[in-house]
Amino acid sequence: METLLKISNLKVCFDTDDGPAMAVDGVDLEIMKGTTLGLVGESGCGKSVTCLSVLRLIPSPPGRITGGEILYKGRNLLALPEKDMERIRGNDISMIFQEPMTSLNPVFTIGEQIKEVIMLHQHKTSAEAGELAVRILDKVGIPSPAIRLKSYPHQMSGGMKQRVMIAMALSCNPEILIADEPTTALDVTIQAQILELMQSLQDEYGMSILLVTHDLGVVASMASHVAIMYASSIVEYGSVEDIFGNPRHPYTLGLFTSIPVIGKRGRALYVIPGNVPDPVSFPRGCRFRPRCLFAAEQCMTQKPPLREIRHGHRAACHFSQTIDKYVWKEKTKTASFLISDEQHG
Amino acid sequence: MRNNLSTGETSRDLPEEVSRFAEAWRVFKKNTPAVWGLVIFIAFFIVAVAGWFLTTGETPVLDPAKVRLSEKLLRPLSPVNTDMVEPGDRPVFGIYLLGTDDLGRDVFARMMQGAWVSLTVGFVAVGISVVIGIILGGVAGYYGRARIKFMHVLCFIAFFASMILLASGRKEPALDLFVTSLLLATVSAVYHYLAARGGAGPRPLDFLFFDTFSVDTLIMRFVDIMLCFPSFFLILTIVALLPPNIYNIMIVIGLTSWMGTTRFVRAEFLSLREQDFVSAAKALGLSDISIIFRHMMPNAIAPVLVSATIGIATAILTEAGLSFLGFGVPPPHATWGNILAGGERFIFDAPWLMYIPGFSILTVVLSFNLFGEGLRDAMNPKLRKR
Amino acid sequence: MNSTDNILLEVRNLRKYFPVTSGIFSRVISSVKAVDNVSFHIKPGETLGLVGESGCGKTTLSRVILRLAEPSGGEVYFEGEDVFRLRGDRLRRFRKNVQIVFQDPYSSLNPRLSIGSIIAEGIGAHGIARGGKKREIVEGLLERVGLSAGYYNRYPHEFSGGQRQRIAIARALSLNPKLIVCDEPVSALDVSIQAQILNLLGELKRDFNLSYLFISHDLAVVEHVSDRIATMYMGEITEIAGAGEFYSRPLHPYTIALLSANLLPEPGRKRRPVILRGDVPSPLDPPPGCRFHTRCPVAEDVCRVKRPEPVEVSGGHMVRCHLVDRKDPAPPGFLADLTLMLHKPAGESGVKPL
Repeated sequence: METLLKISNLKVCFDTDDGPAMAVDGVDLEIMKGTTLGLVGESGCGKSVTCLSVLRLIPSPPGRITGGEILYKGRNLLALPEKDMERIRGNDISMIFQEPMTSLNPVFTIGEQIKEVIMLHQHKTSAEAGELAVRILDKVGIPSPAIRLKSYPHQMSGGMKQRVMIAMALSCNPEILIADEPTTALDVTIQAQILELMQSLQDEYGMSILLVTHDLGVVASMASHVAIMYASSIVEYGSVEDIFGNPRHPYTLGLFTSIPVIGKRGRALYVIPGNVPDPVSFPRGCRFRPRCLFAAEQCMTQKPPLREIRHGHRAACHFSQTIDKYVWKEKTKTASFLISDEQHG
Repeated sequence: MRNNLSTGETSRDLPEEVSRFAEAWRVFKKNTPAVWGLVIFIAFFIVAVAGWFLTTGETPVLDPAKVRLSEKLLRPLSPVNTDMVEPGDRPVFGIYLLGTDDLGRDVFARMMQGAWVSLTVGFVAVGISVVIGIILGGVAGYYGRARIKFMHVLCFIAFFASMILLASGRKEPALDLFVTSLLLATVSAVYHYLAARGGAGPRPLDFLFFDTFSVDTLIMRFVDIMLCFPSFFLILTIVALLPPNIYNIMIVIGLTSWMGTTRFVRAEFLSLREQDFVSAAKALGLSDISIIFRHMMPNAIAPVLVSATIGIATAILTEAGLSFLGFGVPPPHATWGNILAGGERFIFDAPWLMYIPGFSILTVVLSFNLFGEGLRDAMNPKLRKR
Repeated sequence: MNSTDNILLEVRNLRKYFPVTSGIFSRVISSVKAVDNVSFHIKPGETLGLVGESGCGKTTLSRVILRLAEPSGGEVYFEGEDVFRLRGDRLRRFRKNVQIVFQDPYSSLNPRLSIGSIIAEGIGAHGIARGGKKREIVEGLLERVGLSAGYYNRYPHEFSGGQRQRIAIARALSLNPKLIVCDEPVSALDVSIQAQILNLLGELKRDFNLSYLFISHDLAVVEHVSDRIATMYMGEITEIAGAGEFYSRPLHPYTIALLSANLLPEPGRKRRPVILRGDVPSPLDPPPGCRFHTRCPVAEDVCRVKRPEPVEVSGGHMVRCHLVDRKDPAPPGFLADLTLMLHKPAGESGVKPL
């Protein structure tokens, strides 16, 4: 498969009062044409910053991209002049955000906002852009789109606004759609509608999606590849079957066993002890070490690199060859980390 | 007790304890103009207090009222003419630091006296406006949704009408109306007592106790009305009617500048009332008093203090303006405004008579504004790192 | 219905309408029915989960039960006493017995008070203890929720979201309550922290014999903690069932839709077709008949005209749907065949709404 976007060794640093914070530290990612890559992590792990760096939208100051490269069709986006970058944003790579409520400008109608994007990137007259806008809104499932063009954002529900955001992002047929927590602010029934819409649009246009989320259910149902991010680095990367079927990093394993799953009532929840480390002062060696069940001497000193375990499945753990879900089950059973089942009896 | 591991013990990694004050100071310190504002604020405070000590008493060190006609309109730093001036009338150090005015009075002494006037006018006027603002804003914000009953409106109207009649000298109808209002108040007290004792269902006087507008409507519309007056001219009018002295000026400025604070406190209270910690306090069974004074007021007061700092600058400016126009503190008492007014006639012969008070007012007002804005940034938790 | 002595909290036909006003004299022009004829009960030591989408009235319901907002009608009985008629000492005893944990750990703690005084406040107000004894109790509570007793003098801004939620739980525990209303207690937290809080709540429930009214929009979380589950839609309870039955034999179309929209973290299971089209109608202008009929895939003519009444299907399983008696009891592993059961043609294009 053709690699469309390749991020290698990306480093982003934010200057804070307490010193420089490494928000992204050596991230490598690849997005194949026509597929969906899920980027999973907890808040503050650097997943949104990674997305913003792709479009070079890091607020600066305080943020700086300090290293690495982002290759899009062979061109390094980080080295492009700002003018070329403007052409890429929205045209080749576009983005939708978590809050549909604040991503639209409340003083313009949605028609004006969609037309603005189209006229900026494609040489079209206002009338042509209007026609295109109607077609796109129809495509994203907005009823009576010609009338809806004249409405203001506050006249629409959250789900409708997210559809409009998707319409705007898709108006120039981008190659890559970056979706930063697109359904987190929406109710589950609306989430289902939006995900279905994204899936069917991908089937039709063949664009690639970088889907950022903390919801494992969303990733499992949407992505073909998954990257798990912890403390500014990727800790595990692989196909969705590899990650969900055969996770090899203790953080991934901990994450999967700590969420309640419907229909598995009574299963005890594992708890990853402690808190996410502060990006200003990461622990030495492996950053997951203070919270890890398998931490050893080696983890104190050496930061484990992201190493291939099997074809295409990589994990950043010194022991990823030996740790798997069976070892994990044994370990968590004996460590008495779990609530006994009598609670649910 | 079971081990806490299953719930994830979190008691290890808490950063060093940092007090809120230290945190605010750290942010404030970085704002250079605000720090300069604070320095000038403190300097002004010291000068004003020193001015009060040095210019009052039987034999003040600096006598702002001493007239020396032979020494008029001297430049700053002029030495005293020892031939013409009696030893007891000479300024300290034998030098006019800031020159003299058209009556030969020492401008330095007058400026010192004026500094105290500016300081007290600023603080007292803002004090009055903040107290009124907090009370009205707090009531509107916390109890604002309560509806005023028709009976209470009647009662209030009767009382006010009687007061107006009394003021205009018609005692008999005034007394009648006053008794009526007392009667109405008694009736509603009995009504509310019976209502509180329980028992739903219609009561004979229900038709008099229907809801009219809310407390919030009453207070905020009054604020709107007050804001409609151009306040400087309102102050001019009132001051023209009252005997001119420094206390009246303070009170009038205070009584015409509370609207901003009221709106501010109301908005703070409205948003605080919806905060979960206030609901939690109610659920714990705390009293209204404790919720208002322990939970809401301390969170609302910081922004009020910030706006009060800027309010002081405005009050100083208003006082200077009034004195300049001759409606302020009457001569011979010196204020920065009337020094400025006095110097206006000699703008070409003795320009320092305008520059010195003008520049002082500018510096002090500017420093208060800068300090207030720096304080606002420092107090704003959003600008702070969590 | 069980006898009252075996019921901790009973809610009967509770209503809360918010007036919609206009003009400078705030005339009431209509009302939003945030909670409309809600009835349920909670037994001692039981957790009732309440699921619903945003704006369905679940938070309003919790506030009315706690007497933080005035009801528009209906009754709430706590240990047999009518909560809305409580005054003075008996109201104080109710406050002691029923506590709340909020969603947002950042707004639920007063930033101007130290952790110690936040937790100690209720103890002082109810005269349970004073001085050194009070401090001892607070330190015990801090340790019980997994924090160090040395944090007594620290301020809320120094803590992370999960730690703040622990502090809020310690405050709720401080009066030794019988019922804690948990209003989305883990929604604002990260996944790994969420598990910590859920396990902590589970432990406390067992150790202190607590009951919970657990409110959340996350079906998986509710299903994990609850003994019984209720779903709420536009101010009404649509279904109440025991947790097992709720999952294996849901009867209301809305429950089925919620279950189907909940994505499992298993890549093999492809997403089920979307059942619900469109948005929740505006609460200002609720649809006539069944509130759910505008989005219901199996709605019939009767649903558009007549409000359904709650029907008890089997012991403790209540459904508010006209069609419930016409449905066959669902087979056990029915989730795979959800759409079949709902007589909906599968494979419809997802791009256009109904």
